[in-house]
Amino acid sequence: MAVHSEQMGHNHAPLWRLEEVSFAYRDKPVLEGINCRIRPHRCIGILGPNGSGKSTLLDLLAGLLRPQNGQILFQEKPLEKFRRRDLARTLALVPQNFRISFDFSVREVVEMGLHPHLKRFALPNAADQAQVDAVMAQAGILSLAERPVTRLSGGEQQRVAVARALVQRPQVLLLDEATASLDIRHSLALLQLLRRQVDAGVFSVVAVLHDLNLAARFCDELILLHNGTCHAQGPSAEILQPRILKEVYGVESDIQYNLFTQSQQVSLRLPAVSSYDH
Amino acid sequence: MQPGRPFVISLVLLALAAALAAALAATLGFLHIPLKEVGAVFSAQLLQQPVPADIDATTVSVLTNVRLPRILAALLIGGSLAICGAVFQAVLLNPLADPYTLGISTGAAFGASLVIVLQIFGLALPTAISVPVFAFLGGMGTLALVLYLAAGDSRLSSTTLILAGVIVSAILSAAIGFFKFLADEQVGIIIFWLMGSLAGVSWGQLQMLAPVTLLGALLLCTFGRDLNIMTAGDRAAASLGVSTQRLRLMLVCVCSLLTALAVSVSGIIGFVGLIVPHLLRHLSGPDNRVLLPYCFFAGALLLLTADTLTRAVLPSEVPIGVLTALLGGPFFCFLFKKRQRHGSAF
Repeated sequence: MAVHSEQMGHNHAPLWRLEEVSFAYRDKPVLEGINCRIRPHRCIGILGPNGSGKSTLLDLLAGLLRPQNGQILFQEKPLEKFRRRDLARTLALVPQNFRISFDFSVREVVEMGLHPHLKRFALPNAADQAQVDAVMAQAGILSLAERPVTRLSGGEQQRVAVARALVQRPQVLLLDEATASLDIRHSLALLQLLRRQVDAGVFSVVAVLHDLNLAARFCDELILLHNGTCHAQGPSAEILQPRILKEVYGVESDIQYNLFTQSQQVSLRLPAVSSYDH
Repeated sequence: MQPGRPFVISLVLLALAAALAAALAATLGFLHIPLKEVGAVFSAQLLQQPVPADIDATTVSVLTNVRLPRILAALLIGGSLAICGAVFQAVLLNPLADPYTLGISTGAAFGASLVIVLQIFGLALPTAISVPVFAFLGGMGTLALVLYLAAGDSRLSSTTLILAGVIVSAILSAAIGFFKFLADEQVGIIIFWLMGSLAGVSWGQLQMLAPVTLLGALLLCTFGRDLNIMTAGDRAAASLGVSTQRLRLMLVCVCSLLTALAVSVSGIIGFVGLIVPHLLRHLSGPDNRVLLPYCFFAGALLLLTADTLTRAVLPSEVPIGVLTALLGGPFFCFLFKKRQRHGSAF
């Protein structure tokens, strides 16, 4: 998989270029001096301990937040120069806790993804409807189409959120812990679905992940955040090393190539002294 | 439900029902006027022709100067309160929000009674302009205060928001009570604002109410799809290209203006904005593209019916605000209880 996207990846200008980007909520600095490039046609994982600024970085990339310092270029143009609606045709975000307060049906919620493509009073045409159906089938929620979204389980709602983002026809899909409320099977199914789309050149993926093994298996590149800085960035195999994981998470790890999954396998062990002890 | 042919048909039916109810309401009252005469007078007025000679002059006067403005005000205010309720609910992601539970109505009444008290103390303010303006300022100020009090809660949950609304309402009610004390003999005018009544609506008041309400409601209806998307939360909505913060501020201002204008004409009429959107959501689903137009006509129909009941059917006139609170209050309790059982499912 990684080889495949390497072949497609070269000669492309970066999607994003972050230069000395800093962000703080009120007086609490979250990200400081982030420099990185994110290249297209890849699946990029953002990893890091709790509170390391992963979601904030994702919101900055999506243009939902503006950095206090530094500059974010998207497709070689300052991100703040884009109109929100134009950005919505290019970037789709799957938020962490997707909840809707009213009894919209699953189909109605997925159709909302068409918003940036529809004129103000236009209704979805037959082609749009067909796309909505196709995406719901891909996400395994076609049988739930007429059910109210508020009555679904957390995992089902999460798949609705992913389907809505896919209907947006993005060039880049941003996911904030999209697999957090999914069981093992659905996590794998979702990541595999996204991986295939990335390999087929449909879109790029930038995903905040918690699970190191899922990251190793599905991501071409990883960005490892630690204390608001970019601790390491590069191909997954280079980032997932015992030394780096010890520095960032404070855990001992054993990393081996697993023939069954054809990716690196991370086994973790807490240090002899519990990390809550100091 | 999507805006399609069934939507247009039922909307037209609803509008016809409201028109029919208006015609029927015109026949009812202390003086019973046959439907035929009502039709004759109204068509003559509309076509700018002289009224047929066989109709009594008192009848014409009662119809055109008393009943017609009152009926139109009931329709406009009912529609305006219902559509504002639906918009507040979508914008604040809170099915229990409405101009009354958020304290905006009380704030507007506070502004209006302030004008009256200032006039009593010799400040010459032009009533026709200053009452709506002060009502608007009072409504907006209250909303700002309620939102500020609830802002610690990042998602503006129901309980926090309604609690803030109740707290601010309580303070304002005490202030209005003090105004009543100050107003002494003219206390009746302030009580009018607290209880809500459509009695004595004049054409002069309608001149301002009608265009602003109709334009405002039409404007709100054009944001149906954006409102749908906003119910998914700020992050999700922004990533779909909706400028949530700007839009929320704009919609809240428009709704506060409409509410304040309604309050400046009729006083506080509670719960219309809560009951109508809630019932309609059961019938048509939560899609704001169809919900908002439905709310306008259904709210108009509801308030006209309630007002005609108090005016012509009940033995003595009960203030309409008292009636809607007596009926709507228990309904609100029911919703509140049901919400606890089902979580946030509405």
